[in-house]
Amino acid sequence: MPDIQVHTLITRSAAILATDVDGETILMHLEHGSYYGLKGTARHIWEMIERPMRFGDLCAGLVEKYASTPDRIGQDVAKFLREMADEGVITLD
Amino acid sequence: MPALSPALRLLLTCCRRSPDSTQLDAAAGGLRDWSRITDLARHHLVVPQVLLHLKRAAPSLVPKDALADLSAEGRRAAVLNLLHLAELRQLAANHLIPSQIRYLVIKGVGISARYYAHVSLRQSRDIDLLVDPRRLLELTTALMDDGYRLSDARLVDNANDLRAYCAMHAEINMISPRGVVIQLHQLLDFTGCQYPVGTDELFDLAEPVAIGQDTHPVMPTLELFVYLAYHHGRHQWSRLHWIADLDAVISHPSFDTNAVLARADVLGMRPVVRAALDLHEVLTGKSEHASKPPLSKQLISDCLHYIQEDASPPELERESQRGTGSGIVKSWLRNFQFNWRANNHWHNRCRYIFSISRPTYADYIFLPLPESLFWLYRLLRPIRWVYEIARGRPVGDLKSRPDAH
Repeated sequence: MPDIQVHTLITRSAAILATDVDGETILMHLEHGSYYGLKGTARHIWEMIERPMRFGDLCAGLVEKYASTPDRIGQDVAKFLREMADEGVITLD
Repeated sequence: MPALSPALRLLLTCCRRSPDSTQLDAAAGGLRDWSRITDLARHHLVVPQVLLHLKRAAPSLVPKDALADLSAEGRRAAVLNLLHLAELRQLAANHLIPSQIRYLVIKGVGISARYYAHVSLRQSRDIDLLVDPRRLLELTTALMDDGYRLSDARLVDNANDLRAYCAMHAEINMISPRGVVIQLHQLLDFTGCQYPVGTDELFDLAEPVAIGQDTHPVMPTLELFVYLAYHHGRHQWSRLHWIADLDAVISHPSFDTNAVLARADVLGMRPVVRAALDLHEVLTGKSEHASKPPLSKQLISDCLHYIQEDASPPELERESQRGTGSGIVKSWLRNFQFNWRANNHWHNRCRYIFSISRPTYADYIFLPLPESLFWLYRLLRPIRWVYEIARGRPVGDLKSRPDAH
């Protein structure tokens, strides 16, 4: 998987169905049949990428909301996005 | 109105789309025993609504254990709903659309997608599809080839069995490879045989609605409401998720009481539609039980009786009655009486009489005939019906077969 850069475009996979329940977003991968539960920041990121978004814009939005350094946010979000991409939940271009 | 237990009163309050917070606080505050609330909500398929409203309005009144139980159950319901969406998508993409088989999504995710804020706010047990009856056999065969199985597959051994099975069943129950139950209906309300709109007309009336990531045809609101009023009325409005649907549909912007009543008049179904509206008014405290027409009063009483924790479901009561000849007659007469009172068109009122000649798959099992002779079952059925009454139980009843479960 290529490194995530500022201009990397993050897109939700078309194979994902999602629903909200009790403060959690539950995702289901149509092809694998696997489920994922997103809470807190992960859920917030999922909501932010409802439309395809650049990594830089996503991090800028998160920096405004969360009290942490841009570098730390960038590292944590990149790690999370890589995991999501490995599972086929999102694509990174 | 009969007295309702505090738990039931709370669940009923939660069945409203936007319950009054004072009523919700009062109902939650009055509940001392929370141990059965999850079981009761699960039984009535209203866990998501109860969870949502209790967390919004009265979280401090709910014990942590009860909230954790509800939360876990709500999550399970949400996952199941997603599974249903995935199944529907696959069914449409792999079978219905490529084969150009007309279909409608009735109830289930069709209702949650259109009338609830999220698909996970309504529990669904299965996927109900109305499909073109002329293509039912073809579709069933294709699904079986694709790994789906009939829920009572042991009764079908060959192609002629399957033809009879499709011809004589109200709906075909199938289990998908993912384990989702799918009901393929060839006619709305086959059992009551009273809903007077044909399948082709329903397809023509259908409206596209976004369900999950796709668009599927569903019944327009006014048609759906008339159907639900009739169908759930026939089942005494005995489940709270039906009550929740009633409120959700009535609260939806597409709902117009006058249009619904006008459609009910065209179909001759004003009494049963009026009863559904009256039930909603009484349950939401907008009017009194005593001032309603006879059918409304009856259905309101039935509903309040059958939703009680200790009441047997009406279907079970009827099933147990069928064990005697008089029970079979009583059960038939009760259905006939309901259809008579639900409708004010004479020809529709009398349609139920013809249910006596509608063949069952048990008739086929009793005497398997080739398809060209299936019409003979129409002559045979009334004779067998009389024999069943004399004998005190259905002849060739599938449940009485030694290998049946």
